[in-house]
Amino acid sequence: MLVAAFVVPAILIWALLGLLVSLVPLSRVALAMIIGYAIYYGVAEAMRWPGLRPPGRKWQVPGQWVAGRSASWRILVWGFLLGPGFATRNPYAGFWVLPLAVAAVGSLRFGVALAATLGLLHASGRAAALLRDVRTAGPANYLNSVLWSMRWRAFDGLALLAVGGAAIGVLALRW
Amino acid sequence: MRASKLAAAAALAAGLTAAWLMPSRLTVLAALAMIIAAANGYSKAYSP
Repeated sequence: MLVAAFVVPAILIWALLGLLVSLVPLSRVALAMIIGYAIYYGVAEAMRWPGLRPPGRKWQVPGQWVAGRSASWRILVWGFLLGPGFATRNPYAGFWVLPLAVAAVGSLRFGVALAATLGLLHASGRAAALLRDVRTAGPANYLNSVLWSMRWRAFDGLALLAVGGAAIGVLALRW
Repeated sequence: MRASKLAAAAALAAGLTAAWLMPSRLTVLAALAMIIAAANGYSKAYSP
């Protein structure tokens, strides 16, 4: 139930995004944007520079949407809003390179398939993280969560740099 | 700091080399995007 509530809306929303961005010829522009975005944020995260904050929002699910409701309703609301990943905060810059990667594909079928897969993977990871945090939540784990976040930020930066390098390769060698 | 610089340069070079070597260059980009998607979802703190 929990995993389905996260994964199903994520696949649908990401597939719709893939459809929309694949209808417009954005491939080269998206690759150029990936290079600039991935290298800037990749260097900032991997080198632990303060830099600009990753784009995103701080909105969280309002308490009154879930307070006093059934567990099934809460899971549905959280799954719909957290699974796709667009509605709530994204502490790592890597998230916003994903729509650009979908736009860079330049093929309707492959773009929709990639977008749906990205939605599936993000939502599955989010559901797994929720289950993990329900088991381990508590003030004693605050320091661990800060260290965890720093490590993931560095990993995200390195992954972004690899994406930036791949985008340079695609742009330079394809055209 | 030196290790971070080396790791950053290696990551950039690895992406570039992989795209250069693979017959389908966009496959590398797609695979990296999949890794980021899964890691991004899993790495977020519990904050609904």
